[in-house]
Amino acid sequence: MQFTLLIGSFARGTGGVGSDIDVLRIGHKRRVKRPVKLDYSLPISYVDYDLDSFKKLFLEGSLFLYHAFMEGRLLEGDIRQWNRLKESFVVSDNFSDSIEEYLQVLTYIEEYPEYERSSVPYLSNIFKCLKNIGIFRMASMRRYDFEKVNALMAGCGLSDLDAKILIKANAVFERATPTSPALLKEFEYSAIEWKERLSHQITRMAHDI
Amino acid sequence: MISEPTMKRLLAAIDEPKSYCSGAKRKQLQATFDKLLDELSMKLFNEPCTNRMVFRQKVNSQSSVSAAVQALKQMLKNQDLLFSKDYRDHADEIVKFLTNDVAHFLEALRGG
Repeated sequence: MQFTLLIGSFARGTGGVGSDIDVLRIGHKRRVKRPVKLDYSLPISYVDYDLDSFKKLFLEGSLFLYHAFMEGRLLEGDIRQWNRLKESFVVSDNFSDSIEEYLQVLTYIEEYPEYERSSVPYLSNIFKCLKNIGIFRMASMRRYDFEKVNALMAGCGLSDLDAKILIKANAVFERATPTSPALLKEFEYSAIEWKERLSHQITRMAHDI
Repeated sequence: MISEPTMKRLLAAIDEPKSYCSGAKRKQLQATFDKLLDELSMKLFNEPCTNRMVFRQKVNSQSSVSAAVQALKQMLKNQDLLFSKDYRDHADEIVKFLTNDVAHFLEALRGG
């Protein structure tokens, strides 16, 4: 059993120049023909499951697999076999352990002396935690939405501006998108603001579990 | 060159590497590593680390033969082991990264 899927923003049709091309490989790690004909500088980001991990996550009702089943576009593999798996998959309705795990990471960052002075990695790591918490919080309410803006705004209650800055910082840190002195200054201010309210944000989200 | 909180956290991970191979602790280690790179970037280049790969390129372009820079190059070469998105058991790779690459870099930094 081997599958290759296009997932993420390009599978949803919302990908652009600031996005990765996300490819899920199940049961193999072969190179995959570029699935999106766009700028060749766009990086392909692979997520790989060996078959044991896939089976385990399937039985657990993994939200990530649900995402792959709902939004993924099969690039390689037996479509009938994939559709049978999709039909029999039951997504979990309890994501409190996953939310708790990301809250522990956020707390670690919050308690780390002067982490905010490293503004780009600080904001990027906060982004990753909040995005995942937001996705899991929405899924707990049976809202399955994997868009990062929605995860931050609807899932975590951030403002549009806060969400955009976190997304920009993560794009710079993880994908080396272009930056400027003005943008770095913006990140510095944002990091100082986050330092003041991260604890409150964590408390509020922990209370909701 | 490295702040005390960062050094303390890295040494704790080297002391108990297996517990940092998955879950929240692995993500905490990733966050610590990112902080480490920013501190090193400020020290070496007087500018923040805005991206792991760019930082690695800058370090690799250094002609210094100091043990610390050589150990840093080696650590950065293997940093992907910590950030791999494979959903399989990464324990051996992360233990190796911590006990070889990170530990050797910290030793070289301390002149060991």
